[in-house]
Amino acid sequence: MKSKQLFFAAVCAVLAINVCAATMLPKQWKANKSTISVAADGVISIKTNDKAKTAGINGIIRNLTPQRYKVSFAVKGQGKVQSALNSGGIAYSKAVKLTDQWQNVSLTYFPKSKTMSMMIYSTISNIAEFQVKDIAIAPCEVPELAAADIEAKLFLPADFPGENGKLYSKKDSAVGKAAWGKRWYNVMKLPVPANSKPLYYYIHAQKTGDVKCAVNLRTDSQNVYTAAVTAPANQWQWVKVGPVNAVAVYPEFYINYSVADAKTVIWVDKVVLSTNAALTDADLDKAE
Amino acid sequence: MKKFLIWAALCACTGAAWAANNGLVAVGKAADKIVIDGKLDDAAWQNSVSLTPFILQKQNRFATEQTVAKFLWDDEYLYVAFRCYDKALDPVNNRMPDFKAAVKTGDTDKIFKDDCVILILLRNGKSYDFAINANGAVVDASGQSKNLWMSRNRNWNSNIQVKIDRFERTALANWSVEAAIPWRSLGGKPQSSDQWGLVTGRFQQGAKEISSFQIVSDGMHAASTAGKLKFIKQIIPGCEPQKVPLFMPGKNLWDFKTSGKDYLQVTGKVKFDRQKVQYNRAKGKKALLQLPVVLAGNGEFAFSWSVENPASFTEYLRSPEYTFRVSASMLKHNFKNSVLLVNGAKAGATAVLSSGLNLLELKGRANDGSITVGDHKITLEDNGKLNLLLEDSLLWPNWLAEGVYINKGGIQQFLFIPQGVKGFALSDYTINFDLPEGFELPGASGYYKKWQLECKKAGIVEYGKQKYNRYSIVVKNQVRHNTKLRKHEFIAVVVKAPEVFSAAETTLYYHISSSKANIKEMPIPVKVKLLEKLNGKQPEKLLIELWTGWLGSLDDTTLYRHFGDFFKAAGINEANGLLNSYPGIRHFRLISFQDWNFSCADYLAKHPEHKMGQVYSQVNYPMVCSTAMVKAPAFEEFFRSRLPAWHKKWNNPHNIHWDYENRVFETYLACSCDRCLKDFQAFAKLDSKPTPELIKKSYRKEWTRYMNIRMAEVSALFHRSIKSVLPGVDYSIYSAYQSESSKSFYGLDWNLLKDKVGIAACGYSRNIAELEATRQAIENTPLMLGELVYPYRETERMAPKYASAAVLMRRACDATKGILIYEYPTLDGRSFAAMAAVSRIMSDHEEFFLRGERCAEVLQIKGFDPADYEVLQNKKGDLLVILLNPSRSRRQFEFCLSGSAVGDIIDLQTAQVVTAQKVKGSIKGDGFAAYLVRK
Repeated sequence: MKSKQLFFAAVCAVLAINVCAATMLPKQWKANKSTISVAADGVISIKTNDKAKTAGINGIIRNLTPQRYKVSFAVKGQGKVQSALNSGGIAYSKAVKLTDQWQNVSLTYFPKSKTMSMMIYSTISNIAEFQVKDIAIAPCEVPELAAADIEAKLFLPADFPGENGKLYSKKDSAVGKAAWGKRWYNVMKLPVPANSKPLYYYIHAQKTGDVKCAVNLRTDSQNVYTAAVTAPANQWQWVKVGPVNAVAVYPEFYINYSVADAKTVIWVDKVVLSTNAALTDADLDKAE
Repeated sequence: MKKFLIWAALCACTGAAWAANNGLVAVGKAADKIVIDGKLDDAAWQNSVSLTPFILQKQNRFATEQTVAKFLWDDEYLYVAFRCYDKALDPVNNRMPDFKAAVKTGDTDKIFKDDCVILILLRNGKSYDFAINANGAVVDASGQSKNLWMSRNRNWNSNIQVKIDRFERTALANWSVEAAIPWRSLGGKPQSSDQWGLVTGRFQQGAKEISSFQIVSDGMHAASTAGKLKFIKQIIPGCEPQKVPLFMPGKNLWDFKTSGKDYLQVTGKVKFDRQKVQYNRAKGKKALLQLPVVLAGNGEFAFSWSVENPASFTEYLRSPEYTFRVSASMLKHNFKNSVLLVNGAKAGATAVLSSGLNLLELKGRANDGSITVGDHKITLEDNGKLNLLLEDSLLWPNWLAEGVYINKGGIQQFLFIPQGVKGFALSDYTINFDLPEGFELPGASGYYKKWQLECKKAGIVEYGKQKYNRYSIVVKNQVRHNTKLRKHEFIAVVVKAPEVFSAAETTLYYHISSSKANIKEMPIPVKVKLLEKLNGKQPEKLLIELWTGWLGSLDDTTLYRHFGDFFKAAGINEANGLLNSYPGIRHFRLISFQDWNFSCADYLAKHPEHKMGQVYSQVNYPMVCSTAMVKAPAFEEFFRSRLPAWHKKWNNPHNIHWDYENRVFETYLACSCDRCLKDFQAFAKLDSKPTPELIKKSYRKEWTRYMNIRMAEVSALFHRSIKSVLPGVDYSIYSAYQSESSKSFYGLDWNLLKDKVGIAACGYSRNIAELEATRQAIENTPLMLGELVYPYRETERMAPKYASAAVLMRRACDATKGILIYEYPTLDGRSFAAMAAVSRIMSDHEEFFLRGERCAEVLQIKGFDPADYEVLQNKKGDLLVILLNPSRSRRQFEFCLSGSAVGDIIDLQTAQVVTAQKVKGSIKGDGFAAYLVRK
């Protein structure tokens, strides 16, 4: 098939998804260390180059607005495939072991700009052959938002446990107990109010080593917001994360850590949510 | 809960804060003016959150009689509203005396013996508490929150304004309180620095329930009981939780009604032991929010719910943290080379099953493992599939909640609801009862030939190491899914206990199955507690009458033998359900003018001019105008001529009952034809013939009297007709006690009936003033008194209640003709044991009860309420001393008799002669003691 025909088929395939997506999805997918062909029904066939890990297709998604999107596609073939999105921070889908049956893959993402790159690629170091179809992007459901003031709403780890990390007694904690976690841990799962005002999550944290570390607000596989833990080791600090756009992390997110080493422990014993960007430590300490 | 107790105790000690997990209520500003009239119909109340459901004190169950409390405030007052649902107020239940409203004026703690609501406010160490009864009487007190009860100062006056209203006409009968408490009495308007605590409770006398929104562990007047109260300066959205669902494994939906105008979020928080907290949420701007409560665990779990603003997370209401249980929901398997799908999803080594239908499907080799749920092994069909039903089939009433009591050698009727299985039309719907060895299942039957049943013994099964006999009841006609079956569509399953059984408790199981649809249900356990064999004795002249529900319409009449044996052993000598088929148990029959009962169609064919005018009452059968009934000789002639055939048709009853509980404007005697209006005109001495509307508007009092007389005239017609045509047959009326409200509410005045009825029967419960008024009104007419054990609707799932020996003996002492018990389907061995015990005393000492000469004043006893003892005297002057213990715990007593009453005293339970001058002893809970004093 000649390249003009390929291009035409790809556009038609994209148009078939939906009108909105047609203006956003790449008009043409670029081959990355691979050979691709697009059939008339829009199915993209990809054959990676010899031992080319991360080979696949790339494209730029445009005309994005500040909201969370769900990106999805179907894939089949041989090997293992993953997808990644990037618009001010990369997020990955789960890696899917391929079979001869179509499997759906999706991930959600909050872009930080109007464009976002998307990659669908092989994660094995041998030649992989796979087919991709039904690439789609759709805004995630957003609740009705209201502008409401939140003075200081307290969340405790015991009430809002995350995926991993444990709750231990801790003598120097303000509430007697704290969530223990390390690099990449999702330690607390917090709800997000349907609020149109900028939100601030104040995280009462302590690190055990003087290394670079940050707390992230993570939804799906994206660290949407992040803030550094700057206090010296073994000192409590209120880490302010925000302004947070509710729709970016709605309906809930994990508190997640980025830490320079695997040894350092992060403790969190409380989190305060507010629409006030200037709460003092004293304000935060008495939040209920 | 331990954590809660420790925390609560800490709060009680410091007095600085209220229990953190005993709920929180936000009080919003009143949007409009509130008129204190008790009606709770001001628009402002729509913008308040409802504190409900109320939970029973020191029990882990919600109250059966529920309460809704609400709060609002403005610059002058704190407004409080309570709506108290109460079946005693529903006239159809005829339990009005159970509703207590004795205290007329305030500031007496006697109010706690009435039906009343409790409000306790704690503010910065001070307490303000209020109890308000259904007369609007208030006892208010102030004190210290540290020592709430002991520091109560009743001299304090809150200047509270209170109004009460009652809604007695609907199935949701209730009474309501609307109150305004001035801020100046509570230390001024709320300040942001305040710490407020709150207890909202209720004393409900009919079902003897003490309940509150907050969980009460120590007592209502304990600081540890208080939940938090906060005041919001804005108007807040309204939200009211509806009936709490029966929590089952899987997804449960709980409805919350809102105004539909405000964006609201309802959150449910579930925490199983060793599992993480799970949240479920429902939000939106909808009139109905459905909160999904997903129970993906097994065993005990903590549960709370909250209503909040989804934008600010401001909590408007947070419930206390309850502890509930779900069980038998965990599936385990050990297939190694096969995949087990549960409801389409691949199961790990364990999987949580949902209540209802679960599709199990094995992909791969079927024989390399096994499946268990709890202690039960599950076998898949040959095709590797099974529709496994979990906790779906129902018994009515709910014997699962607290178990069932069965008398050794006695029977228990289980009403099974054949509701089918969702998504199936089953042609081999099979109800299985697995009974411990020694127990039998004599049979099962439907009513009115709705179900074709085949009952058979289906082999032996094992539970643990114990052998069980399986009895299968196959429904031959098609069973479609229907959750709205009425009681007469249920299936009566009779289980007989052995006379000798080694254990005091055992378990039976029931479950349904269908081979054709590949459905099996996990056996549902019913705890059985065995009581001693019945030792009742039927009196000769007194009646022990049992109302039996639909028993008389059973398809399988061979079962009557088993019911008869059992009733007789309980001392029952009259019942309506055995259709005169059992020798030794009299038969009674209700008479009415409905088409299928005593039809007037033939009479109206000859006398169409006597047809009833239906403006007040709409009857859907041929009914004769009541003026014609009592004034046209042709009607009495017709009635007498048809009476023998009617008597024969209904199995020759020994007692013909007229159950008359009809309001004066709704009764079938309230005719609005021209003849009746003219008759009423003459009765009320009016200048012109009134219209039915005018009577209703302007002549209610006159109409009430007129209808009371009319009812008495119809009764006289019945009485003389039965006497003359059916000599030896009794004629009785059942209605309410004599009172002013009974005249309009139940349409009768016993003063008019003394010579127009053979036996007067009334109840239920006991109001001494109304009882005395009834006795005076009927004079020497024999009086039978009733006990309605509890009015259950088909939809209700609370544990059944029972008639205690103390209550039945009280009725027997109050009456002169015996007792009636309503009604059989909800009763178990506890009630029959009580009947048996009472019947023996009634039978052995019949003359005391028949005479009804009471001389309780000769008894000197301390600490007993006059309602809890009675002394009856026979002709010779011998005395029968009865002491009652209506409480659940053992009660000590010590009594002696005044000089003239002294004689030989015999303890009737031990037959021992008591020699001491002072008689001492104790009575077990719910029981009685009886002594014969021979002169």
